Amino acid sequence: MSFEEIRRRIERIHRKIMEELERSFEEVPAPTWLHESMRPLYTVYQSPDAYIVLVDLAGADTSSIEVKATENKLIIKASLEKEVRFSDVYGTMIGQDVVFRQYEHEIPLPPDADPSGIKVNVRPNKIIEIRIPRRKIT
Amino acid sequence: MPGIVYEESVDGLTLMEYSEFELKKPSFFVLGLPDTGLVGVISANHIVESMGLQEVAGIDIEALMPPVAVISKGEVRPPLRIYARDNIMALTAETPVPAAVIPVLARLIIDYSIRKGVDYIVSVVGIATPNRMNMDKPNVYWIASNEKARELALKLGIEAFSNGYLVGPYALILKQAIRKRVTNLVLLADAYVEFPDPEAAASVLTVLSKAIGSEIDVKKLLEQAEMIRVRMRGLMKKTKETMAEMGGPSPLLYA
Repeated sequence: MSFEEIRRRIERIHRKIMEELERSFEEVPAPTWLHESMRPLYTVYQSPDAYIVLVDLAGADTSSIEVKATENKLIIKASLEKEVRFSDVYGTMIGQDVVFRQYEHEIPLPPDADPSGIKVNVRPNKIIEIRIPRRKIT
Repeated sequence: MPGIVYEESVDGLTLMEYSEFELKKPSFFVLGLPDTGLVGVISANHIVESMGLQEVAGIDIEALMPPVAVISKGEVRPPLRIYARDNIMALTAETPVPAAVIPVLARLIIDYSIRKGVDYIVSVVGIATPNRMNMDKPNVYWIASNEKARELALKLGIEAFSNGYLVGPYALILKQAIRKRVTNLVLLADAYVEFPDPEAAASVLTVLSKAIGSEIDVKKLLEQAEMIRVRMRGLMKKTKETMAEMGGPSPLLYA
């Protein structure tokens, strides 16, 4: 292999790496505060036959609550009845202009979760209970 | 910030008093430290606001981790604050208490209560109740450090907490109180493990009204419950992390 060939080969590999890097950066979502979303608090419990996810959607507009489950994650969205200022939540003057208008979060699901059997129960106090059955592993 | 009339440092904790004051009798010291459901913090904050308590003292944690300075109206303020009026004193916190300083804090609180002639230290605690979701009204239970606390508890019309764990600052405060013969009444409410729980706080405050002999109005607390939950998210998250370090029984898989 001539020196020229090696040089061209290195350049090709270099270009490939840079393209790959750029592509993966495009896939990284923008920080959530940029699109005015707040992450809700949540808890996941495990029972022998199901996963139970409790999500605190305080201040949400009940009619806007969206819960979707894919094979490996749970997506929760809801808009807030009133916009919430960053300074209200964190008691700070910094970021005064940032307002939150919705809750949004994705929760990873374990492999034995069966999203087809999902059940969602919204309580009047806006704590929602999501029940996802577990597949029997044979 | 008013001047400091008394200052005392013990093993990395500093207590500062801003004014001379005396509590009327019988006196109560309500502790609102962050734990399950932030029931104590929410309760103490509500007492401060609704009963018009004045800020009289503060406790600073020298080795607070993560290193945070609380700044309010341009002044640096201690993360633990003490308010008082008539026969009520209340402690509320802006950050969870790191596990390493709990033993010192427990001693400091007990010693300060003795110095101030507090009759009853009332710890307001949340207990992790997996079934909280299905309760309209969280129950309240009691633990008493001595006979005097027990006598008061028996007048409240609630059940004793007979078996279970108390994890975190309140556990050591109770043990210290027993050792030093100080009266500590622990009020525990069923609460969401990891959500701020103003409804649980309202249950405790209703019981506490009977103990202190003056009505604490919880109507406003319940009306503002959702906004309190939104505001307390950050403290709840930090508290959860601190409590996870302390260990103790947890029904959680992950969160």
